[in-house]
Amino acid sequence: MIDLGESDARYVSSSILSKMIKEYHDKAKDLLPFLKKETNFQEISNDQTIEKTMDEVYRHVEPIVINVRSGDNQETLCNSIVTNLQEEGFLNLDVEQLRECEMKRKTLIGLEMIQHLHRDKNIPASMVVKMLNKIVYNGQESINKFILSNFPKQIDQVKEFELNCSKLAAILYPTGQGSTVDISSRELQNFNIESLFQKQSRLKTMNQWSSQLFQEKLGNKVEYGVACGQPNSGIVDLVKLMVENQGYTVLDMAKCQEQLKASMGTEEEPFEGEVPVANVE
Amino acid sequence: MKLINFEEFVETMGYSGYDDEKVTTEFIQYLAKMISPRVAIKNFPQNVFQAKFFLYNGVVPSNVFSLQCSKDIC
Repeated sequence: MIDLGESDARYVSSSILSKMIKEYHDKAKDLLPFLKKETNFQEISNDQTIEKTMDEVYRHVEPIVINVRSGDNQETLCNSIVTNLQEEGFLNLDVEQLRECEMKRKTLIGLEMIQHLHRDKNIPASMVVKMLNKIVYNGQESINKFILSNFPKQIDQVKEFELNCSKLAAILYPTGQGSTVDISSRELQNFNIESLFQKQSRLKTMNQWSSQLFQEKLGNKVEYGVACGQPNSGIVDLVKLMVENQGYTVLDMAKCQEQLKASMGTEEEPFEGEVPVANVE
Repeated sequence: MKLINFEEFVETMGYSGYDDEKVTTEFIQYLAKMISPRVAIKNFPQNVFQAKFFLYNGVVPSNVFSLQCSKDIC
């Protein structure tokens, strides 16, 4: 909660605040159901830390950006992952190629890059991020899944990208059969991108491509809950609350059986036997 | 991302006291001139009329967020 003193320009006295809240509730009574029906409406709980609230908002707004590393000499698997991700609707952004294109087309960013190169300087990460920003936030809602190739290579570049563009959802790291990240040939003193992402549980190893496994790695697991109890113990009410407040979908076995019965029989001869469990499943 | 506060827009453009139709029309026209691919609008719509008018004559927003807090707070 933000504590504002009377001297603060944003201070609102409690009586005015009460009026504003009442006015909001009066209007929201009709407005919220309308928005729920007509738009992609999301209710976000603010009874949590601001970081968690923002994470929830970002999940709906931010594009999915993934970096696929070449891993421990797993070029073939890396290429296979990229190809499969492209089939799943991801757009591969090869930063080196994009940079070349920008310079060739002599766009504003391209010209800036050429100037930097003429001064014998490396192209700064901020410039690359500026270029990526325009692609990642292209304004087309359907293009919101990206694979970053050849960028970022250093932690500074990761920080720049996450600060001024988008959060990296994960780094996919192709491994051999052991699902381990081999660091034996690397300098252990260097805190590299893999170490950073491992620490934040965002380094995901893959020893083969599997769409389901990929979704699970991104945290898109389906969570199941079983509501059971004695008759009249409030199962229906509990389930209703879970649907309304937590966004669960109900799978009601009894309703499934009824639907199957209806489809198995006709109006003249309704199906009267027991529906096989295998069919319901 | 560009942030537009609807209340500030109304105040700075001198539309205070105007009816919902006029204000929303002006707001749609203001948004139409913007180049930024991502715009966040705060404090809008304030009622069903503004919402309907905006959706039917302007654009359907990608996401609408409503922040909820416990009754102890408001």
